[in-house]
Amino acid sequence: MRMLVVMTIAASLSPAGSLAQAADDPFPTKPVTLTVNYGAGGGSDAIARALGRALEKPLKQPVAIENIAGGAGTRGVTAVVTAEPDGYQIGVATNSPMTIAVHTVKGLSWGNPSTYDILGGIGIVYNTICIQADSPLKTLDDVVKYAKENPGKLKVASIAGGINQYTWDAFAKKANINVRFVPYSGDADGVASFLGKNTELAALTWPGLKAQVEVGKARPLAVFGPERMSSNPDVPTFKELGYDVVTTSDYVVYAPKGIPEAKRRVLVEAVKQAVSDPDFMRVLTAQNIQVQFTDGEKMTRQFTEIFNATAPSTPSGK
Amino acid sequence: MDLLGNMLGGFAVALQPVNIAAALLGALVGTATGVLPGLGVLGAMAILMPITIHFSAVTGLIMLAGIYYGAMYGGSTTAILLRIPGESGSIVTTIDGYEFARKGRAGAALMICAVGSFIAGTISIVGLSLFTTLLADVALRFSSPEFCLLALLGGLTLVRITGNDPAQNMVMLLIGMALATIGVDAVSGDTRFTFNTSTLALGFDLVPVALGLYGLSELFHVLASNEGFPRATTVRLREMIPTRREWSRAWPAIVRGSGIGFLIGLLPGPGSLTSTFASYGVEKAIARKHRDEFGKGAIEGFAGPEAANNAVATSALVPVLSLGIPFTPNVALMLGALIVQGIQPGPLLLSQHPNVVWGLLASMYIGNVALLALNLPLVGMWVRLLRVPQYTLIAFIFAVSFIGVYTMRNSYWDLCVLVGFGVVGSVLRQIGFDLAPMILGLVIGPIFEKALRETLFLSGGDLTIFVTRPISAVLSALCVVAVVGPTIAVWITRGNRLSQQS
Amino acid sequence: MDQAIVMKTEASTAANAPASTTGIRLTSLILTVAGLFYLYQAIELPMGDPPGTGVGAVPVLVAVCWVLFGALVTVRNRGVSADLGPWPRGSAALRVGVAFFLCVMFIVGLPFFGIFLTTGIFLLLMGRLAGAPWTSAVVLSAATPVAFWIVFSLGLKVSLPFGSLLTVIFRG
Repeated sequence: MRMLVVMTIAASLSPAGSLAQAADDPFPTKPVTLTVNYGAGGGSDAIARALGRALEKPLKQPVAIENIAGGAGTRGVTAVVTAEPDGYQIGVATNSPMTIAVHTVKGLSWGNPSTYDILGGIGIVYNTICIQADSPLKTLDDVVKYAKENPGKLKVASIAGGINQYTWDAFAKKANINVRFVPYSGDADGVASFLGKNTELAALTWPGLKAQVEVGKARPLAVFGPERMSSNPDVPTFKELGYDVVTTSDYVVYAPKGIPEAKRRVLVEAVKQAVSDPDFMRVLTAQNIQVQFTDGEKMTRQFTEIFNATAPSTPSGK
Repeated sequence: MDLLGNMLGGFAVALQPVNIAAALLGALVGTATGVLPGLGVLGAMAILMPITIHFSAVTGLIMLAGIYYGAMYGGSTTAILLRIPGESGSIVTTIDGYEFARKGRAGAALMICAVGSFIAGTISIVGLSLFTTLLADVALRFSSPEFCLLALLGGLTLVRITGNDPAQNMVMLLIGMALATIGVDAVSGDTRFTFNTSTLALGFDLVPVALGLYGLSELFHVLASNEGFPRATTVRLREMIPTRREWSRAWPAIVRGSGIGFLIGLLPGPGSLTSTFASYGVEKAIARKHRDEFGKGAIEGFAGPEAANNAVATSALVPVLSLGIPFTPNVALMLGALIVQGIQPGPLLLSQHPNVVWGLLASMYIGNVALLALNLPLVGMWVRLLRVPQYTLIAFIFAVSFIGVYTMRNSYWDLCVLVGFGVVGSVLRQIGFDLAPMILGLVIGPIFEKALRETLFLSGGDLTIFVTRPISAVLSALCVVAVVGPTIAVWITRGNRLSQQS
Repeated sequence: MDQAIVMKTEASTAANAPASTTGIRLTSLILTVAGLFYLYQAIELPMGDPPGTGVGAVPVLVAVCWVLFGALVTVRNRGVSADLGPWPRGSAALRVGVAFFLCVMFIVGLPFFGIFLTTGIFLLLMGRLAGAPWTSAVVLSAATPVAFWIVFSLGLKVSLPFGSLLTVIFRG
């Protein structure tokens, strides 16, 4: 704590104007702010705080967590991407606000993924479809067959306006089935309704449903990942089963566009190290998030793909 | 027997010095955030969460739980003494608690609240220890249609309980519901009523609105009048202890409030506020002898609600401990504390980490005793708060409100909402409108809307879903009674009077 | 002399009773008009498919009830008991006005002066307004920001706005 005081004062009092411009200037020399686009408490916040602690080691500076919630998660993104690109303001978010909510929230000063700078992906959340454990429908083929014979009879609990609805719509279109889509406002509500047997199916995130799978209340049909999950290799992917729908929810670390290349390298390297930090891995693993560093460029391509696919001009957007 | 063994194991965990210290620290921090208006319990828990990583999972959890129920203890203090609720769960207490304090019984009121909170806490911990799994299954029977009807029933009955005019209250309630629709829609994620601005997309958060309507407007009122806060001249021990007659009125209300709070805490939604309104409504409805005292300092009017919001703080843990589903942000945050420790919350928590669950439960017994021990001596201190120079109180509460609201989500908009509603609240109160229904509307509006739309999605637009499900059918019938009941009651009394006259 | 004061008080009370009824009705009229505006905005929104599931359904329902009850309260003539007494006048009204102005200035000043400086100035002026002697007001306005800084910045590591003014001064 004492150290922090001294460093904060030193950082703010140093005639930074002359020093900071030097090319071989060490970075960072003062605390870095990590913005999370949801309020305190909850999954994103826990991840941000774990990431902040993990980043402090390689950056050798305190990392302050800033919760800027609101606007379906877009407000925190706005705060980051409109900040000065000096490397002291970065953010962590999932792809939902940046690729989907961005189309519905009005008056944003940013848009497609080229308007910000993704430093790298840090974790992957799989999306899945589960069925009531006691249902006579055993496999995905059974479900598709039943749904085709009885259009509109099955109900699926999901989340509206995010990656889950986008994924479900894509799957339903490929399978050519008509299932009643019941949107809830989050994993907790959707799982509760599914457990109360209000719907036969649940199209939610794997972290939200995994605990119910373990106690035998829900049965996973498949996941929408690019490959099977390392934690549950017995659950097939939709791609294997013949429905080429591959989406994941990714946690990324991002920054405003235009950070000097030297500083950006420091940050990317720090993120890479943070991802292999055991404490950080523990927090994500407890939430059933696959910990994995993904290159910023690859992430940007993925984001752009979803961003374009969910743009209002396409029918799946609304 | 198994339960006893589990409980003993839990106490073995909870009685470790580090865990007792965590419970005490949490309770203390919670009481402080509860007392200070503007500083939310959620914020305090979130800020302290990173600290919990340095301890074991159960210690961290015990500390966070301590903050949660400690805040419910503390929230009543400023509500009673200054008519400024420390937490939204204490808004109802400003009605009768403050009037009671004005009669020179501030110390007694605080003591009744402390003891009531303790009784409520204890009743609901016992309920929690005994029935966790059973209650969780019952809670799952309640889904969107039931929540929708509960919200409707709440709105229909609660407009009658405060103030003197149901029609005016209805207008206020509806305005509150309308305010809640501004911003991002929780179901679809679309924005509405924002006029394409990102500022209005932030919407009207409960904390700045409630603090503006109640806190700031009270400060403006005090500045305008020469009378100020009630003054406590000297505090003698005799004045701090409630009389036997006061006790005999308080304890049935406390028990009823505990029951109401416990049941409401099992359901999703911000239970601490709704439970206090429900308890107040029940107390007013069943009061016979002292009915006209409500609004003028009825003991039942604050003893019941204060017990209710403490019971909620405990029973809200049921869905989390048994199903791993958090229904309120506070409880979600406690789950977060488990997650950072690498423990996966869920239905297996009880069997995989029994020491965490039972240790937490046992610590809550200890925490409640500690809070009582902490708060009874503090009553004298709090009452002396009224002897702090008034200008200090006014300036300080303004500043704490501002910083509390701002740090909530780093937004200037929330500060504008706070000040704006401070002015609106002052004006409406001066004219004669009751503000409680507006806050209630802001809270139940989103529950009602979300539940109604989920229900219609579920049924494909078929409204008969509200009468074909058994629990829904009962609730629908109650809603009908709530609408036509009072009218019929008026007819009957009028008819009786006519028949007596003729 | 005493008689005159009593009479004046009575007169003002008598004048206030009907005034508060008028106040209620006038306010209700304004609120009803606001409700109509809200309704006008709400009917533009989609009602959803199946009907009632859209973002506009509940707002329309709320708006219709709002306008109906608002009109009811406006039209009927019912006496009410306002519990706060007469409106503040003279120096009391001025105090409230200045307090409101200080609140606005707090919000306006916050981005420039930062949380600590703004809070200090605000407390000084608000303390004076509420009747504090100069010494108490100065102590209050100096001690509180320091306490905030210790608790929020040092103890809890919450990031607070330091203000563009300080940032500019210290970073050139």
